[in-house]
Amino acid sequence: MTSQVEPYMGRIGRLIAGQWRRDRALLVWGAILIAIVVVSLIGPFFLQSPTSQSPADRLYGPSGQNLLGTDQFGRDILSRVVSAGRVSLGVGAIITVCAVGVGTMLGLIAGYYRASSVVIMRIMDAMMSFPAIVLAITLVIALSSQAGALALVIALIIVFVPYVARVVRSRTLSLAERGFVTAARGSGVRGWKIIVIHILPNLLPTIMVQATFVYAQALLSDAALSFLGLGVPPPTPTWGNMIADARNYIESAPLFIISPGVAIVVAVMAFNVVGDSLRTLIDPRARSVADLRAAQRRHKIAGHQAYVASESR
Amino acid sequence: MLGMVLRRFRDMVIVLVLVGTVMFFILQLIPGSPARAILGEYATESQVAALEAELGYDRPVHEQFFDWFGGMVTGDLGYSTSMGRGVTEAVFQHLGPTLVLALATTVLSVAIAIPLAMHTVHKPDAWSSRLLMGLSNLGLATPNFWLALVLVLIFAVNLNILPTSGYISPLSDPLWSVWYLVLPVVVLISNLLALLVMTLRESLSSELLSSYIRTARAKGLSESKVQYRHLLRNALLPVITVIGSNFGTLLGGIVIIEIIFVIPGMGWALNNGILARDLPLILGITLVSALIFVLINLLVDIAYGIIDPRVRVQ
Repeated sequence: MTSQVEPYMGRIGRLIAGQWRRDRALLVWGAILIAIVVVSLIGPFFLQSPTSQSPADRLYGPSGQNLLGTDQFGRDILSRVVSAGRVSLGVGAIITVCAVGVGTMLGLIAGYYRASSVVIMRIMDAMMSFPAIVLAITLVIALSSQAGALALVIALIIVFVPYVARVVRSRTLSLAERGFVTAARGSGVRGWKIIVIHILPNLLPTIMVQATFVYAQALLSDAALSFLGLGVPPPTPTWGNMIADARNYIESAPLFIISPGVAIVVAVMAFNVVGDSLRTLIDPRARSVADLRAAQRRHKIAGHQAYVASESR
Repeated sequence: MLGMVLRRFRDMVIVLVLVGTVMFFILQLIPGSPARAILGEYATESQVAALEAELGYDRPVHEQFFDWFGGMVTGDLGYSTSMGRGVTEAVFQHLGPTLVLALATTVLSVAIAIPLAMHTVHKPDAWSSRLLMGLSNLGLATPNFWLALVLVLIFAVNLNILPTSGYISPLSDPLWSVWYLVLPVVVLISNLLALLVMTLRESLSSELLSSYIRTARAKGLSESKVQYRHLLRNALLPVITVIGSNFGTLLGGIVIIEIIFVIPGMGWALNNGILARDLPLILGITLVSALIFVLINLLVDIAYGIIDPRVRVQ
């Protein structure tokens, strides 16, 4: 048993060690990201109820009972930040999965069937031609009568689809020119089968990286819309609506406004950095540059010649 | 070059027509009658119906659409009920503060980003460069409405050295307007500056490998001449693209900042339009912001063609 496990563990260990030498940001921020997700998933079971009010204890500073103090209804801020994380991360996950799914599909179609690209990409261009938040605000208000709290989710999915579609299309365009696709087509494989079997798997790394960025943007937009009162309604806490609540008590309870904001910053930063590092990892050229840089850092070569270009964004 | 501009212009018109049409029909979904929003909840049904008829909201949707579309083509965006004047006029009255914010943010960000990015490329391993890159990551992850409130807490509430909100036009009183612009612009810069430093660092460091840099050094040029004359000129191109493509995000940020700091720009007007169910105003503002965004990107493409001859050939 051990003889089977050990080489495997050794391989993982080597992989992690190699990654540590190359770029420790991925490991550090990946760990932070996992910690955030785990805490928001199981944290609420160990903390006070985020919605139980005790008006006598309103706007208290930090204490043994309420580590981050209490809000305007005497609710524990720490447990509200943690359960808000569950809501915000959940909303972000739904938006990301749907936007990336739809965007990938549209991007594949537009990239493979050139004729459809004229229509699809024109619509995508039109959607990207005004400020995302303005589009989202209008969509949420328009949809809220029919969809209720789902309006925000639908609106943000619509907002993020074009960004994914654009990247997927440009990758598909270059993949469709490659030999293996021509070969598949030559041997009589039908269009959609080429897309699913031959092109899509090659896109997965790109899609994953794109997903982390969409997730980060979804968290920010969700927070902004919740702040404007267009997100999940109270008393359910989200990071955005907590900041909106705290706005009126900015003098008396500074921790009330600082805590949810810090949560957003850390979560978004974790997604951004992990996405950035993943991009470096899956791009062989960028990876070799990163290796070279790490080697130079170890050997302490100084001066202009020592600087190696990093991957282009 | 002219062909490219004409082609881009045609695309721009198509996009704007699409935006206008789609937005018109999306806004039809907004619940609640504009007439009800004007008259208040105590008005009788017949009063509401009469006002709806007067404003033309009782006609079939397609008739309203063609009416509005015809107006849009001639530059007439309809009548804003909440502002009590034409939408075109109202939008142009609120355009000023938004453009001031956008311009100040962009110019300052570029001016600050260039020396900072040069520094991180010069000394990639210095602690100051690492700190800068960390701060850039932080800037990209910070929601600007939260940063705005935290800065208000520190500088307006606790230290009491800057105003919490308000706006004075730079044209009427340049000195006092800066006083009011500091916090909003600092918040907006935090995002754009971070993005620009990162972009510029990438493009500077990849240009640094080019052979023309080696040639310039071999010619015996001073290092500062190599850096600013040769390197920076070529590395600035991606920055222009980023400014163009990020302009939508900047406008979006301005919308929220205007609401927080009560600055009477387009975002503030949009918020009022939404509260008052003023459909023509909402439509007008989204359309004008799309127009600005598309125009900026057209300018970026033209500038690109002028600065970099290689683009013109394609």
